[in-house]
Amino acid sequence: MSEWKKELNLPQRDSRPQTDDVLNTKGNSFESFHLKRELLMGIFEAGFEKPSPIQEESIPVALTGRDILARAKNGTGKTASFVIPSLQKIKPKMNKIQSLILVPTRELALQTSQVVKTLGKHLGVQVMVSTGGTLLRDDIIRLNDPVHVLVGTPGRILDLASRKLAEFDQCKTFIMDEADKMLSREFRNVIEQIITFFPSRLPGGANAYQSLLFSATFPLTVKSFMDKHLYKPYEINLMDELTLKGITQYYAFVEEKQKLHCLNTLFSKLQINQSIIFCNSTKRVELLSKKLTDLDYSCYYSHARMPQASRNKVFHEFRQGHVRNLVCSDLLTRGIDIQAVNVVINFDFPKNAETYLHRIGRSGRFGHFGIAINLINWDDRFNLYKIEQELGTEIKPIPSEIDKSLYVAGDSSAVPRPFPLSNYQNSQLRVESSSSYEGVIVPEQQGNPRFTYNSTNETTGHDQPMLAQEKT
Amino acid sequence: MSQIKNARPNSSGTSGHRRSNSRNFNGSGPGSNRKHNGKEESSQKPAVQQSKVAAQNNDDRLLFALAHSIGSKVIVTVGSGSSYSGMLVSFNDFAADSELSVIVKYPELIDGSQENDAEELPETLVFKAKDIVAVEIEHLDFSKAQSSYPAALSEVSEGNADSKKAFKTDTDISGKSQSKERELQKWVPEGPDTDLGNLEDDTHANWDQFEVNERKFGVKSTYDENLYTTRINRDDPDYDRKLVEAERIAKEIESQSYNGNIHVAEERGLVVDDSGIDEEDKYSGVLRDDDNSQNKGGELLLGMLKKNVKAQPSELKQYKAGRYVPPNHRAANFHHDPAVLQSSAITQDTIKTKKPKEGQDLKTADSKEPSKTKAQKEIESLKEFSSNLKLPKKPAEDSLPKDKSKQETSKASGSTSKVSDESSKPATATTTTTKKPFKMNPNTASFSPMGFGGQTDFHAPHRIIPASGTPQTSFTRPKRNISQQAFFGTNRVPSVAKQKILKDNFNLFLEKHRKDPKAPFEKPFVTPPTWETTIEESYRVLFPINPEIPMMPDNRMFFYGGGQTSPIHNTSPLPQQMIPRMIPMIPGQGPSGGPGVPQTGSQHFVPYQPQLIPPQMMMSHNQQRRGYMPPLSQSGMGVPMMAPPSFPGHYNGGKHLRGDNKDPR
Repeated sequence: MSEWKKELNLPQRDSRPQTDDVLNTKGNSFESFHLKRELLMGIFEAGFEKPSPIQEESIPVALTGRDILARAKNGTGKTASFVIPSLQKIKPKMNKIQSLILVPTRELALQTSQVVKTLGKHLGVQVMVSTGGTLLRDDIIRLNDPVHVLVGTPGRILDLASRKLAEFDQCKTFIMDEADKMLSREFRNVIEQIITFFPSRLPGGANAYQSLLFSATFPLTVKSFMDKHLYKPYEINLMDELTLKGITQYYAFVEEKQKLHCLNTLFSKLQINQSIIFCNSTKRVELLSKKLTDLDYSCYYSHARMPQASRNKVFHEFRQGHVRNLVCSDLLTRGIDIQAVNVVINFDFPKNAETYLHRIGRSGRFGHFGIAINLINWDDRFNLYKIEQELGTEIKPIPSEIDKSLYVAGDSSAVPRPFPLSNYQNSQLRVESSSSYEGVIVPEQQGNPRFTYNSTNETTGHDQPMLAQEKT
Repeated sequence: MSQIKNARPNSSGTSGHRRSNSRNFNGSGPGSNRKHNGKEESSQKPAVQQSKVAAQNNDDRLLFALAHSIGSKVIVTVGSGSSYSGMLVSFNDFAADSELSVIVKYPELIDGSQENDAEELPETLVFKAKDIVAVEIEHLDFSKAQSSYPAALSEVSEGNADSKKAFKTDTDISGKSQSKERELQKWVPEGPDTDLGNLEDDTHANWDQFEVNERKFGVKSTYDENLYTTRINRDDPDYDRKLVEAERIAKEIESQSYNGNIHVAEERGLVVDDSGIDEEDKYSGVLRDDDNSQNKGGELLLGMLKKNVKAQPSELKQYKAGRYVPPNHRAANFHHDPAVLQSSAITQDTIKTKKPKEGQDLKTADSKEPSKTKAQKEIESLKEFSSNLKLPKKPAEDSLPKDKSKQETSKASGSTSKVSDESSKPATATTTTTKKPFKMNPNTASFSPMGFGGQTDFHAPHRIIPASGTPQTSFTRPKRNISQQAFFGTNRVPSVAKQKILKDNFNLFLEKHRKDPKAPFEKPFVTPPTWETTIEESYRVLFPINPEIPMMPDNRMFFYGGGQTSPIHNTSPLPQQMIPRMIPMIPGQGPSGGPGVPQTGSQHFVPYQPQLIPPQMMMSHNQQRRGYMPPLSQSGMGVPMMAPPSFPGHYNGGKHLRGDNKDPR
C-alpha cells in the first residue's frame, strides 16, 4: 500500500449486507481510473472502497470527454459517477465555473453540493449552491469570489446566467441529474436557454463542453434532446429490471379512515431505523406529522410551501439522523440519499410510475435492504395495477409479521452521515450531551438498540468524515 | 500481468525495423492470458517472411490491437528512459505515415525523473514516433472486440453494444408484463380497534415542528448553509458596495417577466397559483405530451406552459408587498373562489376547450359558433366599458357608425338569453373578471368600432382582436369625434401649452428626428392594410391598370410628415378635409376598394402619400402618370391633413367616405 493511503482518515466501515445492484462489478478500483491523488484521497475518505457498476461504466468514458446518457437504479452511485470525472477535470487555479450541475429540487442541490465538497475536499475546489428560496443577493455576492462547481436549480441558474453573473464560457461539463425530470416540459425550455451560454460548438459538430445526463427513470424518450444537444452520446443502461433487488414491496388495502390506525400499527411493529412517509398533499403532510408527534414519534415534515430555511433545516437534521421519521410530499421523492432509511411508507399512493419508483428508492440505498409499504384505498387500486404493470413488479399483501432480515441490518452503527462531528466545531450548534437522546426515544422504537443517533460517535469524539456513499 | 509490448525504434522506421517491432509485439502475445488465439497461431509465420504482404499484415494486427486498446491504460516509454502511463486516446495512421505516434490522456510519470515539472503534465500528451521506445498495454481483451469488430472501431469501447440498440424507456425495460387485476387482500386491524379517526378530521394543520420536536425529543438544529455552499466573506472591505450592487441586480432580475414558466416563478420567490397541480407534478412526475387527461395536474401545468406568452392571465398572487402586478394580473387577488382562480390561470385556449363554469346555454353557443361568441364577448365588454365609463357628456351619437350599432343590437337580441340577461343588468366587475379578466382594462376602448379602420364585420374569421393590450395608437382615434371636453371632462381640458408639451414630448417621430435627423425611419405603411377586400386576394387583382409611380425618397417623406403634421394635428384634426382630396386620388380605379385602396404596384399605398408628400408633388405625379389633374381643394393643400402616421387612422373619421365607397357595391 502506498504511503499516502496509509495516512488517509478513513471512516468506520459500513458492514451492512449489499445486493448485486452495487456489487456486480468488473473488479476495477478507483486507482485504475488514474485520478488525481487528491481526488482519490477524497473518495476514500468519503468511505468509498470500490466503484459501483455505474461508476465503473461511466467514469472512464466520462474522463475521455464523451457525452453520456446513463440510467442506473436508485441509490447505486450515480452522483459520484458524474462528480468524480468532473472534479478530475477541474483546474483549481482557474477562477471560472468549470462544471454546472443541474437538479430539479433545492434539497437535491444541497445534497449534491455536499457530495462534491466531500469528494473534492483535498482539491481546493470551491462549490456553490444556487437555488431559489435563498437570497438572490447573496448568490450574486458569492459569484464575486471564485467558484469552480455550480450546483443549482435551472430557474435560478438561468437568472444568473442571463445577467452574466454566472459565466459558463469556460464551463466544460454540463451535468443533469434526474435527467428525465429535467427534460420534462416545464424545465426543458429553461435548460435550453441555459445551454446557449455554454461554449459554442466546435467545427465538426462536437460540443465544446461535455454533457452528462443521469437518471433512474426515463418514462419518455429523450431523443429530441439527445439529437439536439448531445454529440454521439455514450449510452449506459444498467437496468434489466426497474426495481431494486434489496427492496421488498407490500400493500395494505385499507379504508381511508383506517390509514392512521394502520400506520400506527406499522410503527409499533416495525423496526425502523429511519423512515420516510409520503403524502399526496401539503396539508396532509402537516396533519400526519402532527398526528405522529402526538403519538410520540419524533417526526419532521417537509413540503414545497414551507419557507426554504425550514426545509433546509428539516433536510439537514433528517440526513444527520437526528430525527427518526420524515413526512413529506413528492418534493423529496427524487435523489434524496439517506443511508439509514430502511422503511418507506406511501401513506397516499402516487399517480405516476416514476414517482413510485423514486419514492421506494429512498430506502435500500446503495444496495442495502429495505421495505416499502403502500396504503391502498379503494380508489387507488387501478393505479396500483397500472404501476405494477409499468414497472414489471409485483406488490404483495402485507403479512402479519415481516421478516426482519428483509430490512433490518445487522449493524447500522456505521451508517454514513453526511457531516461528521468535526465539521460542526465552528458552528456552535451542537447538542450539549448525547445522553439526552437516549431518554427520549419513543418506547416503540427503542426496541431497536442499533439506532443510536450516532451518539456513540459523538461521545467518543469520532470525527472521521463520513459520506452517504451514494444517492440516486 | 498480461501485456503486449510494442516497441518502436527511436530512429526512422525502415521496413526492417517495423518488422522487428511487429515481432516484438507478436512475441509477447503468448504472455497475454486473454484469448486472442487467432493472433497467437499466426504470430510466427509473417515475422519470418520478408514479403511486403507480411509487413502489411503485421501493421493490420498492430492496428487491431491498438484500436481495441483505446480507452485503456497504456505505458509509454520514451527515449529518455522515462515512462508515462495514461489512457490511450488515439494514434496516427502509421501505415500511411510509417511511424506510430500515440496520444495519451491524463498522463502520469511513473518511471524516470529527469523531468522536474512532473506535476505539471498536461491533460493530453502526444508522443511522437521518434520518441517512443515502447508502448505497453495491460489487460488487453479481444473477446468483445472480435464479435463486432467494425462497430467497436467506430464506437470505441462500446461495452454493451449488443445489449441495447436504442435508447430504452421504462416500459421497454419492464417489458409490459400482463396486467394483473386481482382481488386485493383487505388489511385487518389487529388487537383493540383504537380508532384514530380520519387524517383530515383535524383541520388545524399549523404547528411548529421545530419547537415541538425540541421540546419532546430534544432535537436541535445544526444546519449551517456554509456546510453546503461557499462562504460569503463579510469582512471584505468592499462588502458594502457589493451588497448594494447585488441588491440592485437582484431586484431587477426579480421584477422581470417569468414568461409563464412556473418553475422560474417559483425560483424567483413568486407565489404562483398552482391549485390543481400537486407536488408530484412539480417535483417528481414527468410531463407526458400524450397525457390522456388522467392526470389533471399535469394537464394544468402543461396548460400554463403552453401559454408561454407575455400578457398572462392572472395566476400570480402578490407575494411581497409593493411588487408590481400588471393590471390584468390583479383580478386573481380579489377572488377566493378556487374556480375563479383556476379558470383565470388557464390560457384562452384552455378556457375555450375546457368549459368555464357557466350556464348550459353559453356552452352550446360556444361549441357551435366560436367566432360568434367571441364577438358577443367583445360586445359585452364594450357595453361594460361604456356603462362603467363616466363621461360628463355622451359622445356624439354619430361617433358610432350606424351599421355597427345596428349590428350590435341585433346581435345582442338574437343571441342567447344569457347574453341578453347580462346586457340588461349592469354588469359587475366580478362577473366580468371570471370570464374575461381583461375586460376592465381601459384598452377596451379599442373595441370601439372606430378602432378597426372602418372594419365593420365582427364575424370576419380573419379578424383577430388582441385580447388585451391593443396598440396605443388606437387611443387617438375616437378623440377626433369627441370634443375635448367630452374626452377630458369639462374642467380638465389641458391648456393649449400643456397639450403641445404632451404632444411633442411623446411624438415618436419628432423624438427620433431630434436625436438623429438623418436616421431612416420605419415606415408604418409597409404593414399591409387590413380592410376586408385584400385579405383573400391581392389588391392587384382589383385594379387591372397598373401604372407605376416612382417612389419618393423615404427620408423626405419623413421630414415633411414629421415636421409638420404633429402640431397641426394636435390642435385641429380635420379629418373631413382630406376627403374631397382622397376621392379624386383614386378615380378610375374602381370604387370597390373602399377607403385606403392601394394604388397599384408600388410599395406605397396612396392613402398615405397625401399625408407625407407635399401636395404639389402629388399633383405632378398624377399629371405625369395619367394626364389627370385631381381637383384638389385649397384647404386640402393648405392643411396637410395629417393624423400621426398611424395607419389607417384618419379614415376612421370619414364616415361619408366609407358610405360613398360602399354604395356602388
